[in-house]
Amino acid sequence: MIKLVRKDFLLLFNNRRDLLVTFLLPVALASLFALIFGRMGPRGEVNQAGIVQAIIGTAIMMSLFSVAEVGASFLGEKEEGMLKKLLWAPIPKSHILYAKILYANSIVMLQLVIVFLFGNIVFGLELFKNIPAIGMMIMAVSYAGSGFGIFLAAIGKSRKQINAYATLVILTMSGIGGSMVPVNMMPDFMQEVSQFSVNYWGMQGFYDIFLRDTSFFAPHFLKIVLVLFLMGTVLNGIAFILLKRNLR
Amino acid sequence: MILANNIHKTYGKNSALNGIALHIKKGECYGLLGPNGAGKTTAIGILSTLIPMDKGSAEINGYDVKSSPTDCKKSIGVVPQEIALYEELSGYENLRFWGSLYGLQPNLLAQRIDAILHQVGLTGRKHEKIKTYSGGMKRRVNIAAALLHKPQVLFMDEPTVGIDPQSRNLIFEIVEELREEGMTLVYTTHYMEEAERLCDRIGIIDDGKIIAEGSVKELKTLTKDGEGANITFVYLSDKKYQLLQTKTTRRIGNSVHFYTPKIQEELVEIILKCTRIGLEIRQVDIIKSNLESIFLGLTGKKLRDT
Repeated sequence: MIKLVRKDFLLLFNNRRDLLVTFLLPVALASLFALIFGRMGPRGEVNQAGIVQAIIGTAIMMSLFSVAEVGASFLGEKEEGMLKKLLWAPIPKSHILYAKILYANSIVMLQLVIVFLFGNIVFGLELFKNIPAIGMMIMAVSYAGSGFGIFLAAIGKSRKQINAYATLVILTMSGIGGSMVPVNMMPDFMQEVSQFSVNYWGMQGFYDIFLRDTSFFAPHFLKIVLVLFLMGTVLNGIAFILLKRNLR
Repeated sequence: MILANNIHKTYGKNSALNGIALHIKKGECYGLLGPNGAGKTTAIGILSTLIPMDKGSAEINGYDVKSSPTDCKKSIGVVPQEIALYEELSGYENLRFWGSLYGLQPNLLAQRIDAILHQVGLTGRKHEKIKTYSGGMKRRVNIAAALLHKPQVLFMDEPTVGIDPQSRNLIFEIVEELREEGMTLVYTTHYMEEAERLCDRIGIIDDGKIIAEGSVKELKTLTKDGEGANITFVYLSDKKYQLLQTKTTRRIGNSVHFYTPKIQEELVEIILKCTRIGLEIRQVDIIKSNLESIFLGLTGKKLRDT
């Protein structure tokens, strides 16, 4: 399984464009939005909440684009005959799927860590004030995000199709989930709907850490982590069943 | 080495295989010849454990395809029709990845990769990305990837589609080397000359059935219908064709095909008959029996019908 994950990373690091889109673009966008939202304080003062909103909102939204690309690349491998060749190798079918889930998880984790580290260095994001909680949230968001990407691969028919609808789905989810505008500024019914997105729970968890100083064991925080892990399990589970059935 | 009995496979209402039986001996190169949709790829898919069969049984190297798929997979190599390689990785990286899936130790794998790259003539470009390779070079890496774990049986599904003559010849040489090494090969192709050159035995597959099987020589004795001569005239009127017409002639424009297995004995007589009735001959082509004509004779279809 590790060999399969290693191969995916090798493919990523050998492709300059993918590398820039996966790691540099989120940093650039997070910086841009942090510069804009960070100046929205009264009388031009630094608005730390705006900076947090910009960095975590962008990081979560961009991570969904990355996992969607992982899902699309899975279908790409199927279209190009690579998946068939993998199935000829003496490895269990399930390892091929676990490897994709693990790779998607790892990509989101790396992406979040890089954007947050940059936010810490450049914009003073208080990254180290609750390391266990941040670590837990990064894992939870990664797991739910990987579920989203693999689910797209399971329901998509082709790479082209995923690329076409993933952007729309992610932008909608990010819009209603609070990645662009805080949820509390939205009408009540939108706040209800937003709870169906990975973005909403991810944002709430990071708000707890960066803005509300919630402790690791606070019920509100633990509930968020639990919901994200549940989302990931359901999405990954359904995708796993669908993909394994169609894997040939 | 390969034993298959009464294999059936249907996709919805379409029957892909209708009771195929194969017995391929160790070290034999077996050609599976048939038009698109005849069932070649499905047969390879089933024998290589990828596609489950509806009915029947198959054994590869003593392992049952249904009950011991992993053992089967370890002892076979498959060269798929598609060039299944990662374009962003180098030839070496691709081979290292595919080889690692067979549990080869890194040192042994490195040795095998070097040896195989030398065999396929790509040592000098091993660190370049696959996307910079020509179609023929990619096909050679595609073959190399299937050989790294030294399989006992190699399935090759149309390995020379869309490549330059130089790469095609190199692939023929590789296949011939593998034959000499005693590897069992199952080779599917559209190209007659490939099957004639490379295969010890050929199975002709059509509509999911093996309709004839044997060496090229044996198959040629099955039908002589394709042999004869094709004579093209400067002008052939309907009236004059009626004078030539028999059960074994066929007219196409100004040409007439005379079907006869004894063409060398009868050709002079046919030409004399043509000149006697005042026909001016433009060209005479002798048509020998080959796999193309055998296939046509057995199925009534051209091999490359789609």
